[in-house]
Amino acid sequence: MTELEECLILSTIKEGAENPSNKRFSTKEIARCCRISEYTLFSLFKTKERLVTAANDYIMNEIIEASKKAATASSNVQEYVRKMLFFGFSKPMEMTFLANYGFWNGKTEKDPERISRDYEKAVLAAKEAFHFLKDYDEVVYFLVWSYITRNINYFVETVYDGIIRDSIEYRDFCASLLNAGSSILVEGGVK
Amino acid sequence: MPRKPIENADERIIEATFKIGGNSPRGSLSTKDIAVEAGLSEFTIFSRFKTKENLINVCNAITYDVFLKSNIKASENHKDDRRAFFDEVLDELIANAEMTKFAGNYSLAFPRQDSVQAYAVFFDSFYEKWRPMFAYFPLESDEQKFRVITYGVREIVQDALYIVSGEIKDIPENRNLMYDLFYGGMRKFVTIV
Repeated sequence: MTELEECLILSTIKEGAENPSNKRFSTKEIARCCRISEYTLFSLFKTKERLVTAANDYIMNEIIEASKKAATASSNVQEYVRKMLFFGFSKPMEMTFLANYGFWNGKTEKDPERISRDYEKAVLAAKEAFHFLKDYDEVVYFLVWSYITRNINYFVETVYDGIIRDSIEYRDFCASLLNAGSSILVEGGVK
Repeated sequence: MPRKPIENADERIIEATFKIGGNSPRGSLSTKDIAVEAGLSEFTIFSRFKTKENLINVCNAITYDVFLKSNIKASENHKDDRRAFFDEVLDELIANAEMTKFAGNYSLAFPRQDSVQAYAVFFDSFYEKWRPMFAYFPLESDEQKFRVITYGVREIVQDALYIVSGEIKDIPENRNLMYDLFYGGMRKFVTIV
C-alpha cells in the first residue's frame, strides 16, 4: 500500500466516522485531506464503495493483529476478550466508522456473489485472528468472528453514543458477557 | 367533490416501508420507492407520517412490539426449555423476514452514529416496553437486566438476519452453533425461570 493510498483510507475512516450513513460522506473532503484531486482519488479506488471496502479491510487487519497479540498475551479466554475490548475502546474513530459502515453491518446484501465473498473474507480473517480455535467448520469461524467483532463494536459504540457511561464495571460486564459465549467454542482456552 | 378516502393507507405504507427498508441499507431508503410499492403517492405518505424519520420510528415501534410479544410468548411456552425458546423466537423472526431485515437496517438497537437525543428517546421507550421481560432475568439491577435483554435481542435478530440473507443455512447444526453462542453468552448471568 502506498502512502497516498493509506492517507486516503485513513481520511475515509475519519470522514465515515463523522458522517453517519444516513448523511453520507464526501469524497471531495477525503481528497482535500490528502491534498489531491477527486480525479486522482477515483483513479486509485474507482468508486466510493471500493474506498469504503478498503477502509473496512484496513480496520479488519488492525483487529486481526490485535487479536493475535491479545491471544499471545492471554492465559485464558476471559483475558483475551478483555484485551480485545480495551483495543476497541482505544480506537474511537475506527469503531465509529464500523458502526456506520462496518463489514458486518446491514445484512441486506442481495447479490449472492457478494454475500459469499464477504463470508469468505470473514472466515479468512477469523482463521488468522483465532489461532486458538481448533479445526472447526468454516461456519464456526464465521460466527465467532462476527460475534466478537460486532459485540465489541456495540459495547464501545454504546459508550461513544452517550447511552452508557464507561466504567471498569461496565467493561468487566461486557467482557464477561462476551467471554461466556465464545468460550464454549474454544476448547481448553486461549493457547 | 370531496376526495375518496384511501383504504388502509397507513397499513399499505407501513407494509411497503418494511419491504423497501428491509432491502435498503441505512441512508438509502426512498419514499418514492415506498409510494410505488404501496400504490400511493408520496404526498399521501407525507400527509400521514409527516417525515421519513417519523415513518421509520413508527415501523421500529411496530417491529419491537412484535418482537416483544414473541419473546414473552416463547418465555411462557418454554419456561424450562431454553433451546425451544430460542427456536420459537428465531422462527418468528424468520417468518417476519422483511421486518427483521428492516430492524437490522434501521433500529437504533444496532448502534450507528446518530444524535444522542435519538438514542435517548429510543432506549427510554425500549426500556419501558421491555420491562415485562425483566421478570425472567434474576439479575441484581434493572440496568444489568436491560443490558442483557439488549444484547439478547441484537444477537437473535442477527442470527435471523444471517438466515434470511442466505449467509448461513438454516440447518440444525448451524442452529446449534447459534444457540451455543446466544445462550453461552447469557448463561453466566441468566436463568429463564
